[in-house]
Parts: sequence; C-alpha cells; structure tokens
Amino acid sequence: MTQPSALRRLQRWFAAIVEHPSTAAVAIASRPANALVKSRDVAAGRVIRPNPRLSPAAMLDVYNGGYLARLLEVMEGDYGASRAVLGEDGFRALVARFLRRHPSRHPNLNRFGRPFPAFVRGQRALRHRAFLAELAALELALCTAFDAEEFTPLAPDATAGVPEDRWSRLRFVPNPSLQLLAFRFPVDEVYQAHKEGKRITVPKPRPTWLAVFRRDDRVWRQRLTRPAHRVLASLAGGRPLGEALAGAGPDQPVADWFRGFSQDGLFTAFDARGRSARRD
Amino acid sequence: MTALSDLVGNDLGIGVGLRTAHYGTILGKRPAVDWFEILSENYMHTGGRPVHVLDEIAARYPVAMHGVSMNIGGTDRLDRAYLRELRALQQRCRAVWISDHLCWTGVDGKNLHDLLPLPYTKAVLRHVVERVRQVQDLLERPLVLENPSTYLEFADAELDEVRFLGELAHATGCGLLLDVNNVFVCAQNHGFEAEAYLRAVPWDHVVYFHLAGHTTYPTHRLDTHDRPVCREVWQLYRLAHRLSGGRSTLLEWDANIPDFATVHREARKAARYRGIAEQSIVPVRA
Repeated sequence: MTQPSALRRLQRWFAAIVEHPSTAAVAIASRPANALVKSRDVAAGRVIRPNPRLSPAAMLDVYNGGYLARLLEVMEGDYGASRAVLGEDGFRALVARFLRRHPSRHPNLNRFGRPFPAFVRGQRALRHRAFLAELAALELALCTAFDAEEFTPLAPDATAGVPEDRWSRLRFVPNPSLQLLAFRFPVDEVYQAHKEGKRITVPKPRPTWLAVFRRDDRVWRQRLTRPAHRVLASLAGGRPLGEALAGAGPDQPVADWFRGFSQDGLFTAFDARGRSARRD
Repeated sequence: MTALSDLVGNDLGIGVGLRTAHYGTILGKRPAVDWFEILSENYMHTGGRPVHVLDEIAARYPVAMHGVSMNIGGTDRLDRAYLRELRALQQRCRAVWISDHLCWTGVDGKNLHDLLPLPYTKAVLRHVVERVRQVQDLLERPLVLENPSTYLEFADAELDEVRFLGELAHATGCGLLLDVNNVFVCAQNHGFEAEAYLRAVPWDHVVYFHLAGHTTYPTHRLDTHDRPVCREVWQLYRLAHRLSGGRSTLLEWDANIPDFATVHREARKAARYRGIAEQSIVPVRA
C-alpha cells in the first residue's frame, strides 16, 4: 500500500530517472535514485509490474527520453537562431546542461527558457559565447514581447490638444512589450539572415541598438541609431520629453523619431502636468 | 457551485482542440465547429496574441479548458496561485468546464511537463480524493479528470485504473473525461480488455470524450496525437457512445498538425459513430 510519504519517495525516485541525462538503466543504478529505491527491487519487479515485452528500464525509458526531447523542442522554438549557430548537437548539449542548472518550475513552458541568455553568458568554455549570449537575449526579447500584458496604445494624435508650452514637460508611459537593447554585435542582422534561411556566420563586433515591441498582436524589431536609442530609453524611463530629446545631441531628427515612436504605439499614456507618469 | 449534472448533460457536439497553427483559419473563415477545447496553460501568464485570439473565439464558440499542470496526484502542496489563475481564465472565456489528468507532473517544485503514472492503491486514492476536494472548493465547480496514457504499472497497485477513477468520482463528485484512445493505448500496453474497461466506467460522471491518434512500436503504443484516429479506437468510441447515451466529443491533434480542414474532417468522422449525418453541422453563433 502506497502511503503519501511513500508516494513522495516514489515520485522523487521517478523524477530522478526521468531527469537523468543518460538512459533509465543508468539512472536506476545511479546513487541518487538507488538511495530512494533499490535497483535490485526494480530489477526483481517489486516496483514496476513486470511486462512480457519490456523490462522496467525500457518502460522508464519512455518517460526518460521524452523529458529532454520535450524541453528541447520548446527551446528550439524560442532560440531557433541560437540553435542554427550552435548546430543540432551543440544546442542539444547546451540545453541539457541548462536543464540541469535551471529545471522547469512553472506551469507555463514559455517561462522555462528565460534564464538561457544569462546561462550562455556564463559558459566560459563556449565558443563565441559573447555573441551567442546577445543573440539569445534578442530571441528572449521577442518571446517576452509576445507574452507581455495587454495594453491599449496611445493614439498618435493623443497629445494634439496639449498647449505648445507644455510639450517639453510631457512624460510618457511605455507600452509593456517595449524592450530596448544595446548589443556589441550586429545580432539583429544575424537573426534576420536566420529568418530568411541564409547561412549564419558569427560576425565581428559592431555596436547596434534595437527596439523590440508588440503591435497589433505581432512582434516587431526596430533598428535604432545610438542617439535614437538614448532618446527612447529616456522617454521609457519617464524623463520629460524636452529633456529626453535634448539628450540626442545637436542636428538629430528628433521630431521624426518621436512621431515614429508614437505611430508604432510605443506609449500607452502621458502626463502633461510635469509629474512622473504612471501606468494604470 | 456548478453541478456535475449540468456538465454531463451538456452535449456540445463534436469539437476540435484549438492550436496556434489554426488561429488564422478560425478567425478568418469562422468554420462551423461545434466547440473548441483550449490548453489552459497556453493562455495563462500571457497577455499577447493568444488571449486576444481566445477572446475572439470565446465570443463565437463554446470553449472548454484542458490543463496539464494541476499535479492532482502530486505530493507538493497544491499550487493555489495556479488554481486562481485557472479560475480567472474560466471566467474570462466562460469555459463550460475545466479538465486535467489523473497523474502527477512534478515534485519538489520542479515541473517535469509530463503526465506521470500513479500507483493505483487505496492510500493514493485517499490522497487524490482530498486534493480533488480542495481544487473543487477553490474552483467552485466539479473538476473533470482524464484517464492518462501510461507505459508502466506499479507492482503495488490494488485497483485497476477504471475502478480507481470510479471510486474517485463517487467520493468527490468530480467529472470524468474519457479519452478513448488512452483506453486503447493502455489496454495494449498493459494487456487488459478495452471493452471491459468501458463497461466498468461510471457513465453518470463522464462529461466528454477525447479522441486522438497514436504511434505503434514493436513493444508498445505511444500516445502521440500526430495522426488520424485508428480503426480500433473508432470502434471503441462507437461502444462508448452507446454506453454513455451520447457525450460531447473532441479530437486532439498536437504534432505534425495538418491544416484545419483536415483536422476538422477527422473530428467530424465521430458523427458516423454517434448516428448522425456528418454534414449535420451546428451553425456558428453570430
């Protein structure tokens, strides 16, 4: 009779088998699994009911093999460009290591891969890790923009009624999907090449700036100049419009940028009274 | 509190599992599908396109919720935040019922994202009964639980699966989702008679049926949801339909997903076994 405490022990054992990177036979004999359920009891049919076609290890292999395959599929969906750079075997090995460090703890599989860019950054032995960490960061930004909370963008002409002398004091609330990224490598070009099915090569370092956001239920990537990135970061950080635009430096098309930001729905609210704007 | 009889008596017809690949077709063409089943977790913790699509679909079709992460057979504490979100999603899309699986999905806070088998013992039955009661109190409605596909049985089992489900249903008043393909897969894997299983089902608790395809290996059958329903499962469905007197029926297709018309056509085959003409299609709500 399986008591709740015995059930917990059994489930811990089963989890140790399922999560093991090798086969179930190796996992059953491993120290952590054997400490919970003796391998001789498994072999003798005292844990899993004997089946004439499959050994206990073979039955457990159905679950063991499915675990990494399932999470690998999720990671391939989220980090397809990173996989293309690493190759199938390299990506699989990296995900297996990631899974051991960051086991899934959330009901939604979308959350599973979120620590991946930081994990890649920490892999000292990984070739091109600085570039790969940035490429993974871009792919993560695309996923989180897709999943960001719902919002209603500010209409492009929403500020039309604000008196001109108050414009410099306007503060804006960024839409919750907006992410501003600064890279040492041209990762967006690499991502675009991947999307077009082209062969990817690791580029030489070249600073690039990018905005990622959702509009009309689609995720967009907008390449920015460094000054435009600085202006948008200031606005998204709640700085007044005049101060943010001044940060661009002289002779920059700031009015065009601001019009573009508004048309892209990057803001959800504004405050004309000079206080820090807050999202509802 | 929603009553089980309200769920059991609500025959929605023949539905299809809602999958991302079909969003465009469903929103653009509004096919005449009786109802859709959503994968609950796909619409939790997200505010983007998925929930927008769900709102559009729920405005036009009846929707049911089907989850994979309740961990009803687990030994970690029930995740109350998860259950509250489940309830909020039910209210948002006005789901007709909330289902999950008779299984466990993780331990010590880890989610293994699989439907893992339970030992069908009396002690485990008491454990699951208590957890189902807690869930139903929080959701304020009967939970609907599905018989899983399994690839092993535990040596200390004291009950067979259908008896375990029956005692669970009687003790808690929960509903049952009978996956006919899973009955067949388990019967083949564990060597029992699928028809005898169906004849032992407590039909007054069965809310709806699942149908799906599976893969045959030399040593076992794997529940892959990647192909049409096989002939033997259709025959079992005919018997299940007759024994139940008719229940809502849903086709799942989760891998190698073809276009929506192919999936819908496969689902509509169920009409043959329900004794109604395949072209008898319920109009879409305006």
